[in-house]
Amino acid sequence: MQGSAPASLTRLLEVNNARNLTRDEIVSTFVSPKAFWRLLTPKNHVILGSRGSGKTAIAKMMSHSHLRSFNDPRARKIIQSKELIGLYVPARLSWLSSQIEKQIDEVIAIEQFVWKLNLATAFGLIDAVESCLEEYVPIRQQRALLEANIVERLGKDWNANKNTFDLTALRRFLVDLDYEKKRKTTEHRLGLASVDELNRVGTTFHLELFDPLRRAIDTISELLSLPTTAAWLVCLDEIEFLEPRHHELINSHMRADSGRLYFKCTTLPYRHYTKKTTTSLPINERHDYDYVYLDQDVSLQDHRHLREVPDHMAAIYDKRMDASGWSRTQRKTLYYLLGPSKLIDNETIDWSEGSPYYQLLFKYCNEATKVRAVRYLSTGRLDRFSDQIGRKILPALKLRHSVELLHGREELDIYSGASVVARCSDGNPRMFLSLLSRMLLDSNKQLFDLASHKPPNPIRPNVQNKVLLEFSRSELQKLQSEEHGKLLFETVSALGNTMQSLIFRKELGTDFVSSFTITFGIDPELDGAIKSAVAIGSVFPSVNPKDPDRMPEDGGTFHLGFKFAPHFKIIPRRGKSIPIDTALSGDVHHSDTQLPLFTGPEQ
Amino acid sequence: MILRSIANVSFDEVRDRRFNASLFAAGFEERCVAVARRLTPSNLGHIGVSGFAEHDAVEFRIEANSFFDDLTPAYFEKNGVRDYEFVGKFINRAISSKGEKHILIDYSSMPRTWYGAVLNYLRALKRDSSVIVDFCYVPGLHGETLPVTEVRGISTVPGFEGVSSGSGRTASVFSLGFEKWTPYAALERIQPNEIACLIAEPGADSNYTGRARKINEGFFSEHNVRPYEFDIRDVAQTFAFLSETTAAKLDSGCDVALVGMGPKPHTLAMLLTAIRLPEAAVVHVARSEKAPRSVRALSETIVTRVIFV
Repeated sequence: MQGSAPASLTRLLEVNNARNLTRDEIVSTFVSPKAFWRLLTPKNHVILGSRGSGKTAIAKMMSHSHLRSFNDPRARKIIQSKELIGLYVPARLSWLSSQIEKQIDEVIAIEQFVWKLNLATAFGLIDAVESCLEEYVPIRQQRALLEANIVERLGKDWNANKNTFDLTALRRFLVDLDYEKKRKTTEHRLGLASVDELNRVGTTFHLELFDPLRRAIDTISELLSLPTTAAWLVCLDEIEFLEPRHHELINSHMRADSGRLYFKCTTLPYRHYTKKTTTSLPINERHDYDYVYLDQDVSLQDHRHLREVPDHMAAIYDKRMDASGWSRTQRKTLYYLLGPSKLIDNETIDWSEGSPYYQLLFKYCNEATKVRAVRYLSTGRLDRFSDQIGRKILPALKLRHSVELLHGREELDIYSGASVVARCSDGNPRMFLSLLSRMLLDSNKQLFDLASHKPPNPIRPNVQNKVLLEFSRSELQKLQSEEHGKLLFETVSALGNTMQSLIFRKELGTDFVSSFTITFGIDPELDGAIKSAVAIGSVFPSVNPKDPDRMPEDGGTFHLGFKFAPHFKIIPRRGKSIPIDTALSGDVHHSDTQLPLFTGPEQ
Repeated sequence: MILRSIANVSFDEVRDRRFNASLFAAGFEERCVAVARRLTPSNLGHIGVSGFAEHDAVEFRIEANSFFDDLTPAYFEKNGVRDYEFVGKFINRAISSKGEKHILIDYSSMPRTWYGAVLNYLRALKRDSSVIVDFCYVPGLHGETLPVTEVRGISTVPGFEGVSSGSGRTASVFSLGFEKWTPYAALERIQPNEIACLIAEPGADSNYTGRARKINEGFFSEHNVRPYEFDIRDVAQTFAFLSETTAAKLDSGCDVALVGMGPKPHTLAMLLTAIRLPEAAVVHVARSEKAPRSVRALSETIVTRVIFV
């Protein structure tokens, strides 16, 4: 980024969570997904995405302070026209209701939540005001004067101390108010303070939810001469941490005419807990709000040329290199670093009779496939063969053969290459960066070489395979601690083992399985586990391309995250689906010939 | 009142002392009665016992209830609901008369909410003379294989919510024990900018530290941290370290979340740190309900003396 020192590459690769990056780092590394521009509209949205899918980066980037630094003509236009002003409101740790809230009066608990959310929006608003002042009031003296006027008016409304003269002091006042409220809450719990005493702290924020914000927006709009048509985007990040009753409240504001306020709420898939509002009328998708689903199938993403590195992943890498001061000519591409994939990249194969791949085909494939293959090859229809059989069967042949060739403690290197790494991160930016950083670290500490601008060498396939395998195993084991952990772990293990069996224990056909279908009436526990898996990015719904934001509710097709492919030795590619009952029953599973490398749960 | 001092004292200093009040938790772990058994009932002053709503049919739970019934406690809430109310009632009576008071809290089997409530109550109180609290803890022997628990969510311990600086940066200190995967799930939810980890060294027994290190080695290497090691018996030293670290982080504009997933003395040190530095939050990681396990008491009793003035 011009004008500021480049951030360290180690930091930009190691710190892969937007929550932990500075404003400049987020702005300089942000790769806007298509959905981003759709969100920058005066409309309510609930943004769904698994962990690491970029929700926080998007929510932060919608805020005025971030958007105004974003080097994109569309962003500049929005900022200059003053049509949208975003404020970022995280569901911070201190918001979380403590265990005791479950025991205290429901009314008081809701009042406390409203108070906290009103206060949190006030923090977000101060950031937005600071940014608006810098953007729209170029003359310093004038800016200082306006800041003082705004602080005076807001301070009066919020009952701030008389010596609150600037936005920093106003922010400090809010921090102190928050502390005072918590102190009184504790005293109230212990019977040392009455409800009245509790409610006397920061009374303004006990008004209706978002009323203090609306009032403050009016004040700011007047003093900064912002257009009355400007839409104010309230970006509520990580609302999965809230409770259903809190979602009801927020829904009510999306349902009702909220004037100039529009809500952009981020949460995990299936963690927009309810459509209820505080009235008898529920919130209506399409009318009151739209869902935007960020996890998109990595194997269906746009690809540059033939290299099969999804554009989005390549762009994330390029941006991080740019932000850490590597020039375009000096640095190496992601493809150079990770190389081609032996497993899934398209390549020209000699399928002639007697060739190694021809022999593999006859060794591993079922009769029907062999007959079709001979028919195409003997009649010279090579294109047809390649399209109908060769392209489809090749990864499975390579995988099965590679595993068979392993001896003793030898390890595979087939899970490597840019396209495989991108797929095994399931298109998830955080996961992708974490894998890349680990590979660079494991590859003769190249992460540090890169940080000191030494040209990198390609990362060896066996190093890539090792990192992907460790990651894959660890992701599977971690499932046990998630919601529905035991069932989730068992289900994913059973699905993975079934898919593995179809590659290693059966004669191969041109179809392989990567997905499962759920029909209406599934056991609610299992349904909960699958939804939990979708929420954390271990399983992905097969979305309708015409309606990509709709999450299946009562059944649907889901595919197992590609991140598990190295552990189960399956192919990170989309195949056909089988009913979940079949996948879990083990019908296709021969436990007597279980490969030793597939382990059970680790305690 | 303010927290004046924290000291590790030997159990000998407790054994023959006459307390104004004593608080126990009646649970399903064998160790829940260990401290009371090691003391003379007539020295315990007025006794408060709180139980749990869950697992009331477990055999040892029935034994524990019967043991505490025999002590004729002033308060015995067998289905311990409304913890704060109960603790408030108990402490209120313990310190109702004038003069210095001495209270015993056996937190060996006690949820952190309860002993947190005691600390909060004393912090909020206005009183002329001091209150001395002896926190007693009996380490237990845990089985070789512990069940994997699911993280149901995170929340702050009541009264330990901390204060956000508004900077959006968080530093977390995790105290870790024998749970291999739960720290990952907790970390995923808190997503701090920086983390530090504590383990007990020495721990409850000679195998403790090696086991904790092995279980958590993946977590340490994945997050590039070297754990700080603190004696499970030395709450004062753990508190001193946590206070120093927390103060430095708060000064740098970070929010601080203290996450106790290890032995209880570390959790006590975290609560005490947040009493001294109320901007820091103490986080509770709610796990799926564990099947009751019998945790056998070791012979030692670890005592931490906390004085409020």
